[in-house]
Amino acid sequence: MITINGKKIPFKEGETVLETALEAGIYIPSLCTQSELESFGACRLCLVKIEGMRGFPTSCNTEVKDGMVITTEDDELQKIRRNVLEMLLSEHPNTCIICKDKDICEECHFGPTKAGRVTGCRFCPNKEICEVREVADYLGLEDLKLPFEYKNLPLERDDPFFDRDYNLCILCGRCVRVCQDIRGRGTLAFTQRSFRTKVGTAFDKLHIDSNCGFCGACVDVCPTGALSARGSKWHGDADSCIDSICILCSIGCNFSFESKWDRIMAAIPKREGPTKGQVCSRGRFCVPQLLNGTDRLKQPMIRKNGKLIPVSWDEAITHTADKLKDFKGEEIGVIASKFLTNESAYVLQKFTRAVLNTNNIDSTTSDFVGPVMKTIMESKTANSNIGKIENIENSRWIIVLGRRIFNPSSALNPSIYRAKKKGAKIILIDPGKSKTPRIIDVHLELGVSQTLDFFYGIIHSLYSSNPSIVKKSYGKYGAFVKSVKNLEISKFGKTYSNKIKELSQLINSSKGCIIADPDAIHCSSPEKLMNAILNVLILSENPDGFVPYYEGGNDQGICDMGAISQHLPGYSSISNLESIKKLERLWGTKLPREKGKRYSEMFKDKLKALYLTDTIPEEKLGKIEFLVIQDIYPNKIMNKADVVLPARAFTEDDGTVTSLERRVQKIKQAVKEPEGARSDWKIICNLARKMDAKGFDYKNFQQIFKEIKEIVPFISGMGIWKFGSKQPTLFPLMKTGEMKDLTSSKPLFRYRGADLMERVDDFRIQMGAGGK
Amino acid sequence: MKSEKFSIKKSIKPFKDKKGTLITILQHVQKEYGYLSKETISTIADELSKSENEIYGVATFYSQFKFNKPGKHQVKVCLGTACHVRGGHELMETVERQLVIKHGEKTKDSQFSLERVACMGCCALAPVMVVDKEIYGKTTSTKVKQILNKYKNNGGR
Repeated sequence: MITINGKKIPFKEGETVLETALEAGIYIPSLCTQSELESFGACRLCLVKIEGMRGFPTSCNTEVKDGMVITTEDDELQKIRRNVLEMLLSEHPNTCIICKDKDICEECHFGPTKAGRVTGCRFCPNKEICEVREVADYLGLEDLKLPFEYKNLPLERDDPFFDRDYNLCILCGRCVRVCQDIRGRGTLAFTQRSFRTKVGTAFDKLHIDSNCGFCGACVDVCPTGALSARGSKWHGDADSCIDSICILCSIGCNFSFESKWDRIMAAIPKREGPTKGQVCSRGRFCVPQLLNGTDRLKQPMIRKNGKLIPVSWDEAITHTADKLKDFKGEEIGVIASKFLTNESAYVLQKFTRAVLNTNNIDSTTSDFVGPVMKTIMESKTANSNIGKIENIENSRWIIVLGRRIFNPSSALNPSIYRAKKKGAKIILIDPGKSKTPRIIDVHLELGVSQTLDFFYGIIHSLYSSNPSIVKKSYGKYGAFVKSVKNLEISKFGKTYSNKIKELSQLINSSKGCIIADPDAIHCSSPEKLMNAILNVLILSENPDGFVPYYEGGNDQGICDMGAISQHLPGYSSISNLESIKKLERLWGTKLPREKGKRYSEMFKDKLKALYLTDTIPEEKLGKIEFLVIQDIYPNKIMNKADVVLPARAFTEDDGTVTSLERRVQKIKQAVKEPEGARSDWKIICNLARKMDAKGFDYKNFQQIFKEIKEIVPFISGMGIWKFGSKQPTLFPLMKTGEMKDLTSSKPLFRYRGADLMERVDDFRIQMGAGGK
Repeated sequence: MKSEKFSIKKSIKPFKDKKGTLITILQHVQKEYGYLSKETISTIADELSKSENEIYGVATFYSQFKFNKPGKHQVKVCLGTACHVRGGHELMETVERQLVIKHGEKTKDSQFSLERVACMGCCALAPVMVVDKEIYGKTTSTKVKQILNKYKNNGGR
């Protein structure tokens, strides 16, 4: 027990005085502390009195000890704090802080202010959440006795996404620490000293030339208006803030979406997410510009006399339904976007199978997510925490396949960096020759076939150094051991044998994980590579160590819902008659028995009609007679479309999505949709009803989710789903042989038909710089 | 550039993976090149797996490190207590006038760079000015031209 201001208060070992006090509801002013950062003791505002200690210790870096008697507030302390704050404010424009009329002023002068240089209250982009002012109010600072010195530093506005005005900086060091200690980028540092101290980069270079990942973590922690997001600094108070998920990649970061005038204005990261508030430039800054375009699709269109003509929803649906009836099942293909919600994906595959009578439904990224999930299911590791982002932090070794995860700096990077700080070895496998990111310890420049050889080499080395590593309880024990014994070490394996030996020693029995990017295993037989990866993880006793870095926000959900050609919802096999019959019973209709075609094979022969909810390269559309596009923006391939249906974007829709951790999360409507746009599942349900199908009378997404829960046994609600409970199963090694590398040279950053590089200027600039 | 990188790498090697050696490394590098250029800082950063911004942040804290190529001859004028009392400021002004630069700058022909220092440790000779490694004690304003001319005429020395 400790005593604070005469009250007995319990404490936890290792906590600081400040943390204990705040937990007990006792306020101590502080401007430099931040929960995720180590304490720093820069602002000197959290001074307290502790009996038996000399002077006034800073509570943010004094550890609590049993029996401490602490005073957090008395006249003497407040006077010292006022003096400290006065000194801070002698270098920070302060009329907004000490003006007596500031509250009335706020009320009278609403609306945006657009002055570049901040000299007073009306022009500060941070006025709504100013922490300096909170402290000043608490201390009752009403007058400044010290002369004010304006630093007169130039405004820094030449970088993408955020502006910097270091005249407002109070040198609390939060941005420097978050950049160096949490993100591991080291773009910001304290430069110079004494009066000339400034947060900045080497030689005051632009951020874009200084290894900045534009994750916006510095903007989020800044207690003043020194750092501000350019796109959202002027709009003032938001009309509404809705907590939802960003689905521009598969990590599933939680955001609070601010909207005003029926538009998304900003996305503010939330601590609750899987990455604890650390996000990337796409989620933090790109969403408004990406989704607020004036050319959003608002009305359905039909091609008449060679031209797309706007029509009513009724006409468009009727027309589409009539046309689709003309084609046989095997002539129709459906592409499910990796950005659809689980509900929309489920309804879309139900429509395809039950109404269009075909299994030809696939997603453009099924080449990655398909083999990944197939392997995970077969290896019986879906019962563990496989893919959980927390696993990364506690790893002793991390193998990263493909460098895309580092550029643009993804929300996984802080986890990797945290592991590195604890001593983990980071190994990058990527054939690229460009500069290796600083965080990497070992860079192996391997192509896909060599990567397979490499993993086989590791498996062989693990086994030969200790055969008991392969436990008899593992599935396929015999076949696996036999295949390892018969393994011929390839030429490559021989030349790399030292490296392989070294790494297998590291991997052996220490915690670790493998992060894979779709591009890194995009080859002619991705299953082989995936099997090898899972083998390595199971042998090193890390069955939960695989993290797939999917491109799309709901790649996982698309696969779970069966909006993919290889299997039915819940991974039940199409060739399994029982599971088909079960579905037929539930859906009350007959289902096709024939297997569907994968995306890569779909366009080869008889395909005549295509239903697109994503965008695909134009050249694939050669022989298509009837093309339906359901998207949010017009794009190139609409030249060939026969019907265009406007959909809602993810900020305008309700539903659930599943992240790469297999975490089912809710997305909520944060803003009104453009008039005329409809939810994907509603469009498909309309269409199905027009085609006289039964079982498409859902009123809301909850009803669909309820049906999903019935059909997909392992999804029971929000949170990470798990499946199966058996021992992991190994995969007998196959002949390595040559594998064709299908890696696309250019990464695509898309949200359905909208190209981020094209739509968001600052993102294009960021990616143009390459990033190091 | 290649030979430069090689030499920095070599000089860093004994200090690599040891904590608290950055200042020593920077001193070594500055001794070699006379200053810390953008390229050298970026090479040091690569070698130590740090960001160049962090290295720059540390380096700029210390006044001993320079980031611009110094002139051929480095002129230092002492403004420490003793020199201050004996007219160091006037001496500085005279030198500034003679070289047509302010302290911290370099002449256009890159012959001279001028710096202010705080005490050379020979206060008995105040006011003191130093050119390269030569100390000129009890310098009066009238002597400045003479001293500087010595280096101007002998530019190649």
